[in-house]
Amino acid sequence: MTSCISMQKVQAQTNNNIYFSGKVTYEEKINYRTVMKNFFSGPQLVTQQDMVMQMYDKAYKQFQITNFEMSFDKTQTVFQPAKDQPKEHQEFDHNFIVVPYDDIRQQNITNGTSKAQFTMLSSPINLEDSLPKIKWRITNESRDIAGFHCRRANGVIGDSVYVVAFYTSNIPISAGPENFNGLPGMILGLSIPHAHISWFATAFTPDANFANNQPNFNKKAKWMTKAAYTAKTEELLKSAGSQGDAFKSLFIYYGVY
Amino acid sequence: MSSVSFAQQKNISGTVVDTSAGTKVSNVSISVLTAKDSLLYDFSHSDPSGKFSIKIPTKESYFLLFEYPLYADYISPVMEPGKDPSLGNIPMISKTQALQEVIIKSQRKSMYIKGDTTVFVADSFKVQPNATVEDLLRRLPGVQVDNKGNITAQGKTVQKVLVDGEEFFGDDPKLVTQNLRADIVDKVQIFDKKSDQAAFTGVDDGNEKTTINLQVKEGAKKGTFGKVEAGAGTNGFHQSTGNFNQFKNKQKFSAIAEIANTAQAGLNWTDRDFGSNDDENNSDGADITTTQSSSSKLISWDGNYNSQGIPLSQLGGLHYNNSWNNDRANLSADYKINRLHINGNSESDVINNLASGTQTSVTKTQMSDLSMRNKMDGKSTLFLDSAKTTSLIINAHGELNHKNSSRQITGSTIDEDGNKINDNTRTTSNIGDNNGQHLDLLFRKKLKKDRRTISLFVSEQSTTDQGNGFLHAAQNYYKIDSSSVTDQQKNYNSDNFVLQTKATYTEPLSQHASLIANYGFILNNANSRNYSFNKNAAGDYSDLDSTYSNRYKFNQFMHRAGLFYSYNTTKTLFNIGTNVGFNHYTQHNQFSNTDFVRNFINWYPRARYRHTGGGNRTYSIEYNGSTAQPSVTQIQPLLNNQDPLNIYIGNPDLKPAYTNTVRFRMNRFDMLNQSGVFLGVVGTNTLNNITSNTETDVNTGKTNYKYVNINGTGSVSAYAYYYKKISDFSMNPGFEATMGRSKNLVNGVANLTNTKTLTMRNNFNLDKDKAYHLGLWMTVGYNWNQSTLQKEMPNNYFSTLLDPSTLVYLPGNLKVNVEYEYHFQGKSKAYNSTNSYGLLNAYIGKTFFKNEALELRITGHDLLNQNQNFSRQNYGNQFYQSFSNVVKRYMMFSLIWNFHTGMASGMKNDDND
Repeated sequence: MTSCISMQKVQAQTNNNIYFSGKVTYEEKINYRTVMKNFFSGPQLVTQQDMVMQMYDKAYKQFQITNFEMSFDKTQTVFQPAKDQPKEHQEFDHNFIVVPYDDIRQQNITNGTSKAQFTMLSSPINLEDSLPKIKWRITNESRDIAGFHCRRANGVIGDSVYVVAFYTSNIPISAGPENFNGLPGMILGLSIPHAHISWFATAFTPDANFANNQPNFNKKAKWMTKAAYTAKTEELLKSAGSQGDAFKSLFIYYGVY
Repeated sequence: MSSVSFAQQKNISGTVVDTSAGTKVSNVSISVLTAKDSLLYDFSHSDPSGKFSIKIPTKESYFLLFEYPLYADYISPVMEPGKDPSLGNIPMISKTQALQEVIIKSQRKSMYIKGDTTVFVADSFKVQPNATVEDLLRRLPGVQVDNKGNITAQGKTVQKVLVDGEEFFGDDPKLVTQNLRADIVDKVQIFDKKSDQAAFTGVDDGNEKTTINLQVKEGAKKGTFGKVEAGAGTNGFHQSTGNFNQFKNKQKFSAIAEIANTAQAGLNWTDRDFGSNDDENNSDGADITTTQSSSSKLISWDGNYNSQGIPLSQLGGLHYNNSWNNDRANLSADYKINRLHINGNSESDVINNLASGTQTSVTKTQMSDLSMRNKMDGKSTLFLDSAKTTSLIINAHGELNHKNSSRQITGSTIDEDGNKINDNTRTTSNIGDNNGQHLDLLFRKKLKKDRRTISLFVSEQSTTDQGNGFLHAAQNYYKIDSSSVTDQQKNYNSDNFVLQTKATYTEPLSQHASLIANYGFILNNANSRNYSFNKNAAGDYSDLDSTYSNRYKFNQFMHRAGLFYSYNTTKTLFNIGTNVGFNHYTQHNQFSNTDFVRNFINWYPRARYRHTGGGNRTYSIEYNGSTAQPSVTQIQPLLNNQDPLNIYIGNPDLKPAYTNTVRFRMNRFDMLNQSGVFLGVVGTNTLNNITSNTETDVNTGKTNYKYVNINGTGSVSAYAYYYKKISDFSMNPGFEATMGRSKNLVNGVANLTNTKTLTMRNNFNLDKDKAYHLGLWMTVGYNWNQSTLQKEMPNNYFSTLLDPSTLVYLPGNLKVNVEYEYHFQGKSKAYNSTNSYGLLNAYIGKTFFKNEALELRITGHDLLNQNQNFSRQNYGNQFYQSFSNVVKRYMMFSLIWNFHTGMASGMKNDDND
């Protein structure tokens, strides 16, 4: 409750403070229907597309909205779904889970590595490798996000996935939601237009509380590298019969970078 | 990112400092971006002592971006790879409350500073629907627009207004700011534009013009817009104007038309400088003003309205510009046509203080002037290679002017006892045509080594001037009881051809030092024919008056050369050198077959030092020297009987004059605190100043002017201004002080005139968006004028100009504007009366429709019917005072319609507060 009040205060005007730790709430928005449709445009699935989409439209809304919380300090970030989800958040039947919305991520800023756990096409994935390298181009555009003045940067992951990020110099820590990083300040807004997914900060509370926000990783998980993950996704996609370009970029974002 | 190591890694380091508090700033985000595509190369944050060290590219140009929440973003100039690895102090400027308000209101930043350029995001500054660019400029912090439309930015007069980097309607800033709509503008950029030559060579010559560039919104480049205004008033006054603009990507087409007799429209006509391609044209030894200037042209009128009489003007103009092939080729063209008719009358009084007593002359003039002028300008820049290292710039200009003028002058002179010395009546008329064309080419090439460049300039210009007129003058001299009558027809015909060439080479000497060398020649051939005819027995003007007729041929050939040393870093500029011209001048009298030959040398030494500190602070000190040759008119004037009471006598012994000028300037403008300080001192001193020895005949009142060289002329002036804006309120108080002395001879006796002025100015503005605008411009000054010849009659007086104005927006789309301009000039020993008048103007406007596209306006001009054109001046032992008739009271009803189509996307105001 108290944090809620301070959040509103922060939003009332542009924030001029510098923070080295805190908790950011991000709203993840996936155009789930479009992703679904793309998935079913692969050569072996296209015949089922109409039927699947009819079923989808009966049961679900177009957008999947999920709240994530990210605690950070100078050494690490922990990013995972929030306990309370908004009304718009939907729990899909496992047949409809084509993209994950249950990510847990930990960025180790000190040594440049990261751990990730999510479910991809019904398979649990546990990934541990170095943080991705993103090529960033800084622009003159800016906007306010969650009361912070942010500058736009355009990035490229692996020469093919284009992302748009907004970072703030109020938090001079090079990190962001999921595994995004590499800008001179904290990324408070990020979207991957081709993959129909975005994360935008909605609230900020100073001071990280890692005690209450430990990454909830599966203890028995076997951690795989990026290379292993790439092989695994290719296999998953092949068996599912989808090779849609849009879908591929989503997979790249989730693992390869 | 810092974990990546390169074989040839190079770091740049510096310290971030808060300029106003003088403290170090930690945790500032510092990014290294490539100049080509803004790729993030590396980033870092300043440590607790403000220090940082960051990796820089070794092969690519780059710039640095500094970000910190409490401060305005700082973007460094583009830097060459691997050079200058220490940055020293980086100034960060704190945002004040005033600016924060603007920022919070806007999603985007309302302003930022990029290198030397201040950028305003136009949509962050609210203006009324259908507002012009001028209205927008008034809203920008640090920018002032006076009620004549002249613009000052950060304390400096704006000399150029560009649209997307291109000149628009020639270089008349008001045609841009008063005709273009504010909402087509995306960004307003204010900067000191380096001379084209400096931009090209990379060697800064210190020649700069304060420039505003308007970046047009992409969405506005696909549509048409404009404005039509029609007004009819009492006493036969009318004013109608219109403009039409069509922008399509890089192509811009505009047309304007204005017709008015109110002296408020149709009068923007700036004569273009010839040789505009050559930046240094004023100081490179190209003194070609030695052509004989007097001719039998009876009335020399420049064709412009000079605030005297009632002008009826019709003006039309077309503008086109476009660029192709990735901006490797561009073309801009302008055409203007103007018909101007002025009827007026004026009266002037001259008090001439002589050793023997005072003579007072009163002259009344009736004038009628008609001009018809056409001009066309074209400019094209072609880059001959894709890297834009080789270019050709072509400038072309042509003009046709027809003028028809007449004067009826009556005058008389009395002595101090009131006895008449002389009286005269003169009727003159003149019909003439002067036409001209100009073409210049500038070829420039950058050679392989940085700052090694070569440029070649060739310019050709030819003009003709011909016409004829009639002179009828009758004089009576009462003290000697004589009279004379002149009744003549005069024809004149002259042509002038100038060819100029110049080659400039720049050579880098070291990392910061360069050498600039130039050489060229100028060839000038001119012919002048002046004929005066008296009436023969049959009453025809056919008897040639050989005394006042002549035929001359003038030839001039000049070598000019210059050598300059220049040292510049990002903060310091120093250059020194001189231009010199060797001139050979021949004047051949074709009547007497005699020659007058003169050889002379002109020197133009120059030294300049400028230091640019952090936070928009600049200091500069400058020395200029220049030689001024006596004009041929001063050495050997043609005999002239146009004004029998004022006669000029040549002096073949005249030496050239030489003027030394020293300037010191300090500017400091804090964009984010919205305050500025501007200081300056200028001193000049002229050796061998060319001035006149006037000898007035006590009995006839005739004055002879003979030119002589005299030392002891000079001046010192100083100014200090302060600017501050707090929220909606801005003010700009300042002082100016000048001191000058000039010497001349009166009837052989040296007369020293001392003048001093002390002026205080201030202007206040208070703006409340959509509610009101209040302004007060005021100037209060005291003037001292004293001549040694008339110590007992000093012209010391007080003068004031008060100009309060108010604009109020009322409900129901009504707006009311009232402006009062009060002029006061106090009395002095020389003039025992004060002069004051008040000009009260007001209008009420009501707008209709969505977007307020239509406005109905009722204007009252000079409601108190007091407007006048009045001036008082003194020169040597003479005091002048003149009045002329001007446009006075009228009421006018106007309908104003603003239109725009097809630019919806770009025209919207992005603000959503």
